[in-house]
Amino acid sequence: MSSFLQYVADNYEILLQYTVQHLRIGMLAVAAAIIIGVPLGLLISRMPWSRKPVLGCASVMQAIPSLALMGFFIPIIGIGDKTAIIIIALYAILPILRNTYTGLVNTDPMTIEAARGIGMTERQILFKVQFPLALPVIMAGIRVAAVNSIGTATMAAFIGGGGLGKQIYAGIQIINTNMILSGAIPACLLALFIDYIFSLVEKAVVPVSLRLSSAVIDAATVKKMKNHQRRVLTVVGAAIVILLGSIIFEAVKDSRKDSIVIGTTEYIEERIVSQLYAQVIEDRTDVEVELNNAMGSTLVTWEALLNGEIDMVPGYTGTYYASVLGLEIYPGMERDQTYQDVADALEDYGITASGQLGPNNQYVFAVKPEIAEKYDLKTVGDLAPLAPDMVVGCSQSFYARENDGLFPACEEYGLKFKDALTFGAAPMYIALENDEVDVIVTYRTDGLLQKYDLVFLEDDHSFFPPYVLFSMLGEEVMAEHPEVLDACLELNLAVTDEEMQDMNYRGAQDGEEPYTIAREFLLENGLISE
Amino acid sequence: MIQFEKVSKKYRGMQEDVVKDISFTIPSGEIVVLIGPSGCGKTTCLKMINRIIRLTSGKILIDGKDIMEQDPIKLRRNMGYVIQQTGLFPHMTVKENIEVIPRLEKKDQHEIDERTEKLMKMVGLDADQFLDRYPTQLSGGQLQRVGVARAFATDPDIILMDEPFSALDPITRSQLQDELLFLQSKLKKTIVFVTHDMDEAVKIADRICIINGGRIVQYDTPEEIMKHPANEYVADFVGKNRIWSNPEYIRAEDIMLPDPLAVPQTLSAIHAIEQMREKHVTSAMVLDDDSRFLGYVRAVDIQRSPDKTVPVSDLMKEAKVIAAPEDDLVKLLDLINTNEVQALPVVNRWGRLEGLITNSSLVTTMSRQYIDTEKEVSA
Repeated sequence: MSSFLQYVADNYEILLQYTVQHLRIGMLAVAAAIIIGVPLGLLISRMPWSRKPVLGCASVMQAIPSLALMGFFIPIIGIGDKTAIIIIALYAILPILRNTYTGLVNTDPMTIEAARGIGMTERQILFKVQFPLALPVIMAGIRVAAVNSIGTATMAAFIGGGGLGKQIYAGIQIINTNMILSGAIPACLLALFIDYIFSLVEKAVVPVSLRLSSAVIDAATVKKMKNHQRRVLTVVGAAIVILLGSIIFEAVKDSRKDSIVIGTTEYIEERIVSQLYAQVIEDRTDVEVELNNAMGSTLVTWEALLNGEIDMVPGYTGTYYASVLGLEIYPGMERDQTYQDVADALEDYGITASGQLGPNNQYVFAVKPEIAEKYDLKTVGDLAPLAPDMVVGCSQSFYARENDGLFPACEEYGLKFKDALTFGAAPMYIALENDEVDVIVTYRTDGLLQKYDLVFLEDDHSFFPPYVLFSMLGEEVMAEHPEVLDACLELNLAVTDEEMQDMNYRGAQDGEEPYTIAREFLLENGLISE
Repeated sequence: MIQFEKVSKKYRGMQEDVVKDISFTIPSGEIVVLIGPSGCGKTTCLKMINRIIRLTSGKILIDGKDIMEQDPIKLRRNMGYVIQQTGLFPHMTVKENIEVIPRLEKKDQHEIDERTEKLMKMVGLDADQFLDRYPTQLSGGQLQRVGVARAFATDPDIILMDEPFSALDPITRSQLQDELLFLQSKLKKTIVFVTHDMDEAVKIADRICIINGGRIVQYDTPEEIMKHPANEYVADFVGKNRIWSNPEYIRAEDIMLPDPLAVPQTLSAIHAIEQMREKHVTSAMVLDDDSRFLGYVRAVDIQRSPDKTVPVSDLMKEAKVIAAPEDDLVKLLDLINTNEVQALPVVNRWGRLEGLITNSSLVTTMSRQYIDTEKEVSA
C-alpha cells in the first residue's frame, strides 16, 4: 500500500497528464456522439420509417467488438487519439440517439397540439417545447454515454492514443502492480466523477416545475431551485469551454511546433530505445520529439510510418528482414550484412535506415534451470524428443511469423509440441513459472530474463536471423529535418547487449521510467549534455 | 363570422368521411357550441378552423377570406385556442405561458406585462400570487383560467375551445362557465366551443350545432332545439326532460290553458254563470268591447249577487297580477307565490287574453316530467 502511494507521489505528473488525456479522449468522443446522435434522434422522431434502420445500425455498431473496429479503422484513419475518439464515439451514439428519440416522441401530444394551435412554428415547437421537455431524458442518455466512454477510453492506448490506458498496459507489460493500479484507480474514479457531474447536469436540466411535488412550494424555494440550476449549468458550461479551449490551444500549439513522433509498441525495450533516440535528437537538434509508446504491433507501427502518421520507428533487423520486407532468410546470417540488406530494401519504400543501436535481440528458446538440468538441455535440438509432452509459450507476433516464427523454427528443429500458447511479454514468464508452459521463446535482451534466471538453448542451426536494434526515419522527416539522421547516427552501436539487458531489467523489474533509465545511460556515456 | 361551405374531411386510410359536406355560419360575437357523440366530427370541425386539421374539400371562410389562402401561423395567432387541461406548457411559468406568442412576436415587454396583468384580472387570478407559478402548482380550475387567459393574449376575435371544462369537477366547471358568459357579455368574441355535455351547451350557447355521423342534424338556439327537436335523434340526444333543468326556457305560453272561458263585459251575470256551469269552471275572464282583458268574474260572486241580470262588469274583479306569454316558469311560480293567487291570466302586449295558468294547470305541467314522457312539453 505504502509503495503504491509512493509510486503515485513519484509519478503524479505523468499520471495527471494521462488523466487529462483520458478525460479529453472520453469527452471529445461524447461531444462527437452528441453532435451525431441528437440530430439523428430528431430525424427518426420526425420520420418514423427511418427509426428501425437507424436504431438497428446503432445497435449493431454497439455489438461489434472494439478490437474488430480498431482493426477496421486503423488502415483507414491511422492510429492515435483521433481513431480512439472515433471508435469510442461510435459506441456512445446509441444511448444518446435512443434517448433523444424517446424524449422527443414522448412529449405529450396535447402539449404539442396546444403549441401548434396557439400559432407556434414547427421550429419554435421543437426548440421551445419539445427539446426543453425532452432534455432530462436526452441528458440521461448522454450521461450513460459519458460514463461508458470514460471506461472505454483505456483502449486508446492499444492504438497509439494517450490516456490512463497507457499506464495500465505498461504496468501489465512489466508486471508492476503499482503501475497497473495507478492507471486503473484514476480511470475508475474518473468514471465515477463524470457520472456524478452528469447527474448534476441531468438534474439541472429538468424543468423546475416537473420537480415540484405540490402546489404548496413557495416562490422563494422555486427561485432557489432555479438559481441552483443556473449555477450548475454555468459551472459545467465553463468547464466545457475550458476543455474545448485547451484542445484548440493544443492543436494550435502542435501545428506550430516542429516535432516528430517516434512510434513503438508498448514493449519495454522499445520504450527505452525510443527514449534514447528522443533525448539525443532533442539534445542535438531543435526538433521536439513526441513518443507514442503504445502501438499495437510492429505491423501497426510500420503502416503508420509508411503513411506518415509517425516519423521514426526503432525496430529489429530480423523482424523487418523477414516479416515486414519479406526477404528470404538463410542459415548463418551475419548482423551487419542483414542491416545493410534491410536498409537497401527500406529505400524502396522511401524509408531511411538510421543506424544500428547495437544490441542483438534475437529470439531464443528458454527453459527453467531445473528443467535444463533434468533433461540436460543445451541446444534447441535437444528439445525434440521431449516436445510432444511440452507446451511452448511465445508472443502473438512470433507465433504468426511466416519465415522465422514458431512453426518454421519447429520444422527446422523437428519439434512437435503438445500445444502452443501466446502471451503478452510478462504473462508468458508467469506461465512458465507456474508450469503452464514448459518452454518459452523470448528475446535475448529481455530484462525479465534476469528476473526469472532462465537457461537459453543454443540456436545451433543458426536458424534465427540477427535481431539488431536499429532505427528508421520516414520520408517527411528526412525532407524537413535531415539533422535528425545525424543525431540518430550518434547512437550507432552505442549500446551493448549487456547494457540493454540491464536497462530492460530496471524498467521491468523496478518499474523505473524509461525516460530516467535512458537519461542516466546517455549522461553516463556522454551522449547528451546536462 | 366563420362560414363553412360544403366542408368535408377524410382521414387517410379511413373509408368514410369524418365530416360530410357541412355548411353553416357562425355569426360574429356569438358562442356557438358544437356537440355530438364522440367521433361525430365536432372536434375535427373545430380544428379545421385553425388548420390543425386540413380540410379535404370545401371552404372555410373567416370574414369572407378563405383560411387556406392565409398563412397558418398568422391565422392561428389571430385565434385563441383552449384545450382540455394539458394545453399549458409544463416547463413554463404562468406568465411565460400567457406570454409565449406575444414574446415570439417580439412585442414590447412592458406592454406585454400590462396585458398579462389585465388578462389575469379578467380570468380572476391574482397576478402577484400566480404569475410565477408553474402549471404543476395549480388546481384544475386555475389551469383552465390560465388557458383562457393565454387564448386572449393576442386579443383575437375568434376563440376556439375544445372541451375546455370537461375535466373539471362540476362546481368548478359551473363557475368557469359563468365566468366565460360574463367575459363574453363584455368582450363579444366569436367563440366556437366543442363539448359533449348538453347541460353545458344549453347553458352557454347562443346557438347549438348538433352533429352526428359527420353531418349537422340541427343548428339552432338552445330553446328551439329543446322545444322543437328536428328529429327523434335530436330529441333523444337532448333528452326529453332536458327542459326541466332549464326552467327559464318553459314559458307561460307553453303551459297555459290556451282557451279559457271569456265573456264580454256586457253579458248578464246569469248567462255568464250558465256558461261556467257548462264548462265546469268557477270563474270566467271578462273582456271589453275590443276583446281586451279587463278582469275576471267568479261564480261565487254571481251567486251571492241579489240581482243576476246585471252585466258581469258590475261583479268583475281586476286581476292582481297578469303574466306575459314569454314569462318563464320561474317567474310564473314567483308571481303566484308572492301574490297568493289561484290563477294567472296570460295577456299579450296588446292587452289581449292569450290563456290562463291555474294552480292545477301548473301541477299538470310540472308532473309531466315525472309521469308523462311521451308528450312533448311544448305540444
